[in-house]
Amino acid sequence: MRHCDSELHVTGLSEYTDDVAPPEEMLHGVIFGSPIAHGKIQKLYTSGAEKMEGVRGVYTFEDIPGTKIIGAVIQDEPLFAHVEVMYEGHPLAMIVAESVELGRKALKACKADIEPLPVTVCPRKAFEEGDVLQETRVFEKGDVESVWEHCDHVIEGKVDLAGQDHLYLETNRCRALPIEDGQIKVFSSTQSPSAVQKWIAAVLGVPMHKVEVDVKRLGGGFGGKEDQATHWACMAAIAAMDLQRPVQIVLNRVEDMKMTGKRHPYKQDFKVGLTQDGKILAFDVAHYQNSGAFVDLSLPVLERTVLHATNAYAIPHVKILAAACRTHLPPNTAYRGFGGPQGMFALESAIYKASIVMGVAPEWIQSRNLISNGYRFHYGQEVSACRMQRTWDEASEAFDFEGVKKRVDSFNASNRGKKKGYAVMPVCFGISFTKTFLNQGSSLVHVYTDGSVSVTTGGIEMGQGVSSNMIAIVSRMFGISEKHVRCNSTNTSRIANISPSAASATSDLNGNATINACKEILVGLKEVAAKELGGKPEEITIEDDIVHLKGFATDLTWEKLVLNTYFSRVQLMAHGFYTPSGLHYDYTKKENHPFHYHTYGTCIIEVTVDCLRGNYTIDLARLVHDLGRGIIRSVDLGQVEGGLAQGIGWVTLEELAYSDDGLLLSHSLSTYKAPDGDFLPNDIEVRFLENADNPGGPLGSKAVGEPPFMYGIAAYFAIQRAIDAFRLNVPDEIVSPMTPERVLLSLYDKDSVKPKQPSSV
Amino acid sequence: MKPKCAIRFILNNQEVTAWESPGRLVLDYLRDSARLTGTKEGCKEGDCGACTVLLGSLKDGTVSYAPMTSCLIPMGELTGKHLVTIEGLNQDTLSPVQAAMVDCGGTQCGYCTPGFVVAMTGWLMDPKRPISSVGVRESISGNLCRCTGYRSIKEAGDQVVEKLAAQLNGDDRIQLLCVLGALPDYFETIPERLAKIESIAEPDSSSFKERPVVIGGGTDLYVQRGEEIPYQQVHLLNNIETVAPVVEENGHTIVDSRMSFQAFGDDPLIIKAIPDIQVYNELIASWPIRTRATIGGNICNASPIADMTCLLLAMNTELHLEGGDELRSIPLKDFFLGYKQLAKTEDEIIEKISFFTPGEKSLINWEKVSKRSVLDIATVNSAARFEAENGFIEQAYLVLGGVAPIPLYLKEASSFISKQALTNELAMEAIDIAQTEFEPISDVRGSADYKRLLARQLLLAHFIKCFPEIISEEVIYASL
Repeated sequence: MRHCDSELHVTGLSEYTDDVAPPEEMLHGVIFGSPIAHGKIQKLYTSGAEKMEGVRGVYTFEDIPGTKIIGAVIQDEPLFAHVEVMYEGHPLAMIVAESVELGRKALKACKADIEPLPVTVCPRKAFEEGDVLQETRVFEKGDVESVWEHCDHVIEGKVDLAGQDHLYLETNRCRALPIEDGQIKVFSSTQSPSAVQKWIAAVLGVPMHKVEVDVKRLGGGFGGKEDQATHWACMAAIAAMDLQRPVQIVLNRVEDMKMTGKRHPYKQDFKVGLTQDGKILAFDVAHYQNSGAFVDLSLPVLERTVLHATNAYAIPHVKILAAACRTHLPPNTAYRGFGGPQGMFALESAIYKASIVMGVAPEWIQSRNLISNGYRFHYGQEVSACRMQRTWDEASEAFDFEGVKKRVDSFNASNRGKKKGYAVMPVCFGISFTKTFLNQGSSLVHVYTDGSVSVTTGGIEMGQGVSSNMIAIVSRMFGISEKHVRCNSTNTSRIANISPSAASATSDLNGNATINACKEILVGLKEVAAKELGGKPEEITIEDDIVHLKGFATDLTWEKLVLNTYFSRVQLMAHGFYTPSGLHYDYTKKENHPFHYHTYGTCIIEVTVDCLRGNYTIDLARLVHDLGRGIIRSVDLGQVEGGLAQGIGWVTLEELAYSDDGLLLSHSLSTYKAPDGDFLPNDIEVRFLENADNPGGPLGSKAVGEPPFMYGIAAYFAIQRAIDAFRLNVPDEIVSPMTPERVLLSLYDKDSVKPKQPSSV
Repeated sequence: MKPKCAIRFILNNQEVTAWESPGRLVLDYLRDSARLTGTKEGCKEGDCGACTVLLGSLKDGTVSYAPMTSCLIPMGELTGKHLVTIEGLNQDTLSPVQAAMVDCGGTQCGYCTPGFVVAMTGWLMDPKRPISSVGVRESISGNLCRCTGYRSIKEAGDQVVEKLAAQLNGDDRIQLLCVLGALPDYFETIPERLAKIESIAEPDSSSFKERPVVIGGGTDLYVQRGEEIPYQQVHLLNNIETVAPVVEENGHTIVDSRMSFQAFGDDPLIIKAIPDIQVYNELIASWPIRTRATIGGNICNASPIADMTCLLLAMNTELHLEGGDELRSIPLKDFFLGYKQLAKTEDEIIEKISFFTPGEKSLINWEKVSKRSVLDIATVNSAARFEAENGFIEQAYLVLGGVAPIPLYLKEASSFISKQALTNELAMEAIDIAQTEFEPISDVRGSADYKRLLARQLLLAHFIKCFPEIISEEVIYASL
């Protein structure tokens, strides 16, 4: 089976939010964003715009009929800037016009008097000034202070980790249609339709049952549309209700990049202590999260940073400081890995530095500290069904870590202008929302009288293949061909209180809910079949569209059985619900069980640095990944490779450049560079663990969306290693991304360039 | 008010007359007016490829197709052309390209997918493009995908090559592709149908007092002024007449300034003159942009990091301007007066460029460093042309881009190294001298320190590559 939308995609016939034929009289909203990053709003001039051709309305903070302040975790974000602008692009007003072109023309007539206020872009500075979003937390296991003196090596350092734009190819967009009786129907490119529904209801001041949100598919999300699709949908809804005409908002690329939050940049301090034989005894780390201007999802993101601060390593003494620091950037938000990558990067930096001090290979340290069953994480959960060592060993053998080392060393010994480097990255990632209540999924399965089946779940199709997974699950549960099954749009009128499609958990939660729905329908189907075939319901199975009795095919087909079931007045539709059991998490307590299970993997990445020019190639990425028993191989493989690609991009090319006054300089695709096909290696090899069923996942599977992202971290340290082969130069502060600029400035002293007049002159 | 006019062309399998502003973007027309939504908007500056279309032009009875990003094509240029969108490639069953993308899992969210399919199909249709694994990868050099990591897409390309390579011998690829089910049959009727389309009248410009916007390929102009141009009067250089191939006269190579980067790199006389031109071209923009971007546009845009201009400066190129009081010529190195300031009147247009044809003594090298190798703007680029024999440099032309307000001809360094027998020390000294000729600034593409360092490294690269017998890497690295 392939991704169920593949054929629509390759023919260009799949419809995204604004591809659907526009309704009559549809208007277009364009956003007037703040030109500066921080300031006091003195006056907003929109009357010029109001008078322009085709403009039907201008909306500001004052025009919000209901709740004016929104926020996913804490209500702290005015839907339109009020009193102060807090970041560049902060929406001040929305112009609604007959066409996008007319709206954009009117945008030029908008003006705001804003008195500039001091701008903070550095989280350390915000922390020093006490501008934090919640009380700074410290998590401790053991007592790091007591062990430093017992360590043979104690290494300290700093990290400066950049953010990352989601760069979903489809920018944020939505369409709101007023319908009878004060209701509104909204098509939104969101990962969280219930959040959109809830906040539209709130800003309009109507009950949630008057708001229907429908999502067919997203042109990419990656976390960027988990919380930040909500704002635009709320704005469109306000205008649509006011004008009683459909309103569409489509951000252009520059707007999307300036106005929406990104992966959180972090600054980190670390101290690690090891024994001579490479055992990590203690790890002390401080995470200063650059949260942006409002809370958004920063606090749960920071929480996951803490949970993954020790990644796949067993460390007896751990201390983690976690500070959410307010800066004048757009509120940073969910992004594949959700704080986990930042947590892991600091420890990898510590291990790399330790390897240099100790004169060993980093993987020598890594391999001596991997977790195994019985290890208790600093958050109290005990490791079980651990496959960390297994993925390491299989990767080490399959990809010949020893051989790679020899080959790279010998290449470096015989080449002056080019150096190779490689790095290994083990990953252990916890699966579940750490906000425990979000771990619930719902599914609605309809079997129609012709034998065709539709499934609707809370899962959002954003390319990750959740629709395909749902189809596969229904088809396997019923024993029928996938051709009979179709996955419908996600809709708040069919599924209530949907958790966002996030945390890698979408297929887990909604897949298990779908299994429950199918089971309920199967009870009736089997009773009807048993009656007709003269057996017991438990003797009935369905395989390949044929009803079997005691394992033997009968003449009864799926279609016939369905029809008979209907005529027998037996239920052919069911709503399934699922929540994993045993989850609990309270950061104030020592004993927690936030994760349903963990997923594991080990990756090796090899690079070549051109030491003349400072650019580099990623030569290969090979990994062993624990997927449980996969549902659809090509879909799972796509998730692993895509996650890896984004992870590599994060630590290499993707550079969000800000001016000192907080303006985003790399705000378009000509200045912000994500990996392209030429940059990413042709040599990518993914091996899945075999015989690795996971009892916690649907059909024995494991969640796959986020964990592979962190394999990309290996690219950073592979490049650093190649640099160090040219000239040992590990900086005090490890700075990511490793752009070609950073490489060249590491290879040579900038002061080595000496402008000189000709000697003859 | 928009200056509208009737534009006649074939859209997929249908003759169309569109009443449009000639400066309007084809992308907006497709999505909003023609309601063909398979063409997606991702960035509107030619950097993602989600809006890639094919444009077919009739010449001597055959139609040749080139991929282009529809976010940078003016409607007026469609006159008498065949515009192909993803919908125009669809048949009852999937084409080999489409099937391979499905088979290999090359599509996830699907938003970028039509662009990839169109670009790969366009590659198969162009007889100049090799049907090979490497070739098909080049075809998608202008397409970004955020979901897959590209391996599956590359595998799809390989599958297409494996399936079709042996059968695509010969120049009439279109006909072969129709037979193989890779293109709908209607493509075979297009040459005849295009021939029947009358050219249109230019829009009535009497109501427009302002000077028309002169558009060549539009790849820079639309990025900078995409919101204004649809409302303005435009003068489309590509509509005047077909671009002539390169000619050689009296030891000079002469190029129509409207020539696209791709055509320039494909031209046999250019390949002879600049043997590595195709290697350089692959590092400039992307295939669908190179089919649009023009030599003259690159020069007139006057970007300090203009890739082709950098190379042409080292070729000691001469510009030939028309439209002023008289036809006149000016050396390219005298053309840039300051940041985006040109030594020409507003009425003057570069008609041709020419340079002294390289001979046996000529050594040419061009270097570029950007974040990504492909589809990226240079942080610093550099070009060198040496006229040299047995290590004696008779004449050197050294150029740097990205370090000054203009593409910079290094007068001092070039003159210092000329008429000298090259040594390691001399090369290093020339580079030190070059450093006195500019003062780079820090910007989004890199810090001043980085650019200064890159300048040294790229100049060094010229010496290392052009004079491997003289320049010792060991000595050089030891001295850095």
